[in-house]
Amino acid sequence: MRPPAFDEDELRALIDLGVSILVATRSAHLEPHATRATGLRLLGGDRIEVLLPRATSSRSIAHLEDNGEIAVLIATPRTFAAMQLKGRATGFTATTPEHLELSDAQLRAFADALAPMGQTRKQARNAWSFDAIVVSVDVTSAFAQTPGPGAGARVGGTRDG
Amino acid sequence: MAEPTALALRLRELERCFQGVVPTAIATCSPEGIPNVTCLSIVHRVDDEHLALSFQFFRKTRANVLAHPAAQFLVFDPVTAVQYRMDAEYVRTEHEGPTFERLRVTLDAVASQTGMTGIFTLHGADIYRVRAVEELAHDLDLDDVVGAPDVVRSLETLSARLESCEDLDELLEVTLEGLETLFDHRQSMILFADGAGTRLYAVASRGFAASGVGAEVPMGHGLIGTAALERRPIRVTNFWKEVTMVEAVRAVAGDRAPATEVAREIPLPGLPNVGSQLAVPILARDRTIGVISVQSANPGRLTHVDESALATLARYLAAAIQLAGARSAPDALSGRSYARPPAGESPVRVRHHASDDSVFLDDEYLIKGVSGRILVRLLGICERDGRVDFTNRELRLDESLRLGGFRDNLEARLILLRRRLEERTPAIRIVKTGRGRFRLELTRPFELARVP
Repeated sequence: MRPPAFDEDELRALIDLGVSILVATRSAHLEPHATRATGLRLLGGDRIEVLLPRATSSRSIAHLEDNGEIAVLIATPRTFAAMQLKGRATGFTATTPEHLELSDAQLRAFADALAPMGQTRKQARNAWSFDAIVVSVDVTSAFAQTPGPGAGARVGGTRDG
Repeated sequence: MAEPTALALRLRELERCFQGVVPTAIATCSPEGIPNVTCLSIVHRVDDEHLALSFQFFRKTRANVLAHPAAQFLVFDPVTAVQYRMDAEYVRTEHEGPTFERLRVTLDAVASQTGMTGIFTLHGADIYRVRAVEELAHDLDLDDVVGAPDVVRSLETLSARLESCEDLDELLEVTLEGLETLFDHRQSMILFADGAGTRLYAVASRGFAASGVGAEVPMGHGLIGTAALERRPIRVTNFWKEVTMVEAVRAVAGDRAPATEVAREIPLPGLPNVGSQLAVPILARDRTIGVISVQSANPGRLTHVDESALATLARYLAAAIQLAGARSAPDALSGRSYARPPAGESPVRVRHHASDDSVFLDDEYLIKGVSGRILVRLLGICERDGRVDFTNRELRLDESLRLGGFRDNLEARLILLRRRLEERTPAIRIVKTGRGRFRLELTRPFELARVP
């Protein structure tokens, strides 16, 4: 049995700190594209879901529909501790109330993390309160991304993606 | 490749986004088509079209852009919460020049402050050209955003107050008070360089649990020492992030780099969990008078606007300090009063160590160096002649004090000595009696002991 691509417990602990979720995709011409996601959900078996707001992520969604290549960075603004997951988008679905509830809870935690830096909760939450699409991702590799000499080191097992 | 066209939004208008409060993301892509996204530790705006990233540790991002220069930044305005997306391309890595130096000095300052000298090393400044900036959709009510304080007006007010100050003591008080009331910098300190130019000593502070007056910093150490040595402002916007990085480095390095302990008897004033800090040198032509520094518990609190304002204030202050020095110089002693220290009370034991001019009162450390020599000299004259009135001028001419010509600021040493005495004992006080004059007030007799 292959080892998991990442440690779900470790990632959950990070998410609890209040995180920003950043997504990179790329075009057919290898042009990179960055967007902010919400509502990261760990489904087990190296599968995750993220919500991409349509208003700010139309190109990301088009890229994923085209080639599926995705990188997801989970980072806490408080200390910059971070983990990056790489893999392929495997499906797109509409949001359910459960997704929105999770997204809201994560935005609240993120706003709490930003509050000491002068950010108002209202601002942090408003930034991403848009109609979103749910992207399912099959994670093939994970990387420690906390700034320092260990940044970029692979964590967990490897899968051919 | 097409010539770059002017950006609809100039990068200078997005300066707040680069302060490291909310992570800036950079997306790149490998030649194999694997996207990568990471948070940036330091982003510096070079001009209206270029950004510089510090290259400290080799990362996937670098490997990607060296092979395929396209990159995209996603930045976040920490005040408005508006996001911007920037299409960019890696253009070159600089190993010298003003941008590299700016990044290096900041990194060196943080490294020495956190005991990481030689481990945090800047390998280069990666320069990116921004080709397009896009504001992302949002439903924010930007009318809610609190406007920035009027810095120009605050500077005008404070500079006018400085002009009317009589002496150095008042200048320091007015400066720190103004930093709090006009600029909302609640934690601030001023340090002066010693005559030899090797150390700085704290002469005034405001807003800290302990004043730290008398604390010393070696030139070139930490943010304050580096600002003095390099003669340029140094700002760390997010210290928490730096601490994360230090911990990450320690973990990887097997803790082979313990924090450098700088020997000092008085701890430097500081917040226990500092979020951001700014240190600006006070310069007079070729001479470094000292450093003015502000701290905040909040990351992101100290911005480029604060840096410019404090740098301007430091120039006013430098001019005012020189003017105050010139004013107090010609003052002479007009009347001399003599008084015996009161008898009956138990004497204060004053112990002077000649090796470093450290002075202990009843076995408790008070001060060392020039200020220590001054106190012992004053007490010696008092013991011998019973005189308690003194002038700054006679001290300046007193060769036994070894003041190092005009390079050591006598007034600053006296302020430091007065404040340390106020903190340590009610028995010995230095009280101003006029411009360039002061009196030694003794409520207990003293015994002066000199040891090698």
